[in-house]
Amino acid sequence: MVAERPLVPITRRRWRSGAAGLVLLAAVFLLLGGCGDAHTIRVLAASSLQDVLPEILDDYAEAHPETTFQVQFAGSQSLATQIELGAKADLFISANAQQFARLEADDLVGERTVIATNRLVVAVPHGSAIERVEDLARSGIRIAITAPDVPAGVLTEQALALLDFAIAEEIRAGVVTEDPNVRIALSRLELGEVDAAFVYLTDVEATADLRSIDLPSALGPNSYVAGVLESATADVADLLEHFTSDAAAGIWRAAGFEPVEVR
Amino acid sequence: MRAPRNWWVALPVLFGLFFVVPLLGLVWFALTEGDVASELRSSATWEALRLSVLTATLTLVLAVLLGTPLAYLLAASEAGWARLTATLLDLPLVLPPVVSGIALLTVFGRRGYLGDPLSEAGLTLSFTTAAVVLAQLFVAAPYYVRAAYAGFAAMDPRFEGVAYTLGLSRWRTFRSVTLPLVWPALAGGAVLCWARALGELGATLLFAGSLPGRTQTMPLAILSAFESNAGLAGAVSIAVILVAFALVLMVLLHRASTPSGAYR
Repeated sequence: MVAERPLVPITRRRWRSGAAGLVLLAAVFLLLGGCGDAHTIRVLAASSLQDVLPEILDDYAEAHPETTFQVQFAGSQSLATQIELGAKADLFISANAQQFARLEADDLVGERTVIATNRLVVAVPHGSAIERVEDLARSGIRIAITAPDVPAGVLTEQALALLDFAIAEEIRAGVVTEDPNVRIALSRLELGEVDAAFVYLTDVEATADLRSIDLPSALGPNSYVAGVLESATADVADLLEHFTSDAAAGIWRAAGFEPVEVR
Repeated sequence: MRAPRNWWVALPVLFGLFFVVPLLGLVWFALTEGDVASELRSSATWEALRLSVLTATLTLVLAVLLGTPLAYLLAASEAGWARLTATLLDLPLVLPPVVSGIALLTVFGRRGYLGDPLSEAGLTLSFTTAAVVLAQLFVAAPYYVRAAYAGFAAMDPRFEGVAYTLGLSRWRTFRSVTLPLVWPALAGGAVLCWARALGELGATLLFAGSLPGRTQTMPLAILSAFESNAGLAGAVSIAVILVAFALVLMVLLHRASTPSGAYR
């Protein structure tokens, strides 16, 4: 079937499609380029901040109504790679100090500020019979951990090293998957495929039907480090201070993070 | 200067370059930024490669054994259900593999319709090497069945009819008449299926997990490296090993699947 074209003079048709093209092009540029104005702060943040960061930014925006934000969440590793490959932004918040150090080495980011910390815990469903870490050593328990070279995986190894050797070995025997990131390990718990997962406290707080089991208190936290990117066009010094302010501390805590004491 | 008569050849050449150049870029990136040599020495890489080849090959064997009769049946039948089934078989091609993984979990997972009774009987599928094969089969077998179906459907049924009138048995007819006619389609589908299985990531990750030596195939090892501190460089280093290996095997497979043995 051949559709008949409307009888519009050719010149007008051309003009129309030309205008449509221009509008489309402008829209694309607006979307891609975002804005260069100093009141828009472009933030690249670790995906584990997806719930808490918007709250803190809203809080900041109340005192600074002229400021708007463009936030992009992804794994710290992906973000660091994007920045290395030329992504432009003002602020980088990494959940992985090593990824931050990678950018430091290339002078792509300025001084580092620890803005909050997070704790590794064992997540189990509410109804689970598992009460203590040692209970994971029982046979038949299926456990999800993260790969040994992502931050959560490093902490998992450290936590197991703090336990009794025999128990740690039993727990290792129950590990059915070493996931590339915490989210995947967590989703296995939600799908009921595993009985426990080594994830962050904040993940448990954000997920209904899960409760957390503490790991040995000697286990260190995971730090969120923020820094101004070399490609920054906006002034973010104020915002960086706001992250460690009393106002933000309450928001951090409510989401399961530990705020950083300043001075 | 006069434009050459075959100016349109530029188009396919450009399209060819569209595939070749990024692959060369990948290799170049790995050689300059990555550390292919150390990945080649790492036993973890070989373990992942071994597991990948083993599972993809098992997937292919199952796809051929189970998919060929299915494709034949579907092509031979005029019924509506056959058309419907053929269409349904295309669906896994559209589904994002992660969704396929979830679909498999709803059936074979620990709380799945079949997984639940199975685990009562002491048999669990998820997080085993068998789960890797099932995930690959779900995602990759449709490529084989699709190609085989097209092959059988395009065949003139009169060839088989003649064979029957000459007194050949069903099996003999299939072997000496049908099979040679559809061979190119089957071989092409088999290569596609094997290649897709070798590259399978999402469904495997969801359904089988990622444990080195048991379920961590090459694509999962690449993802794992990307998320680790080895980062992009580490991931790309493993990736080129997979690409190089797949290239060699594809060339061999293409040769084996061309009846005359010539590489065309």
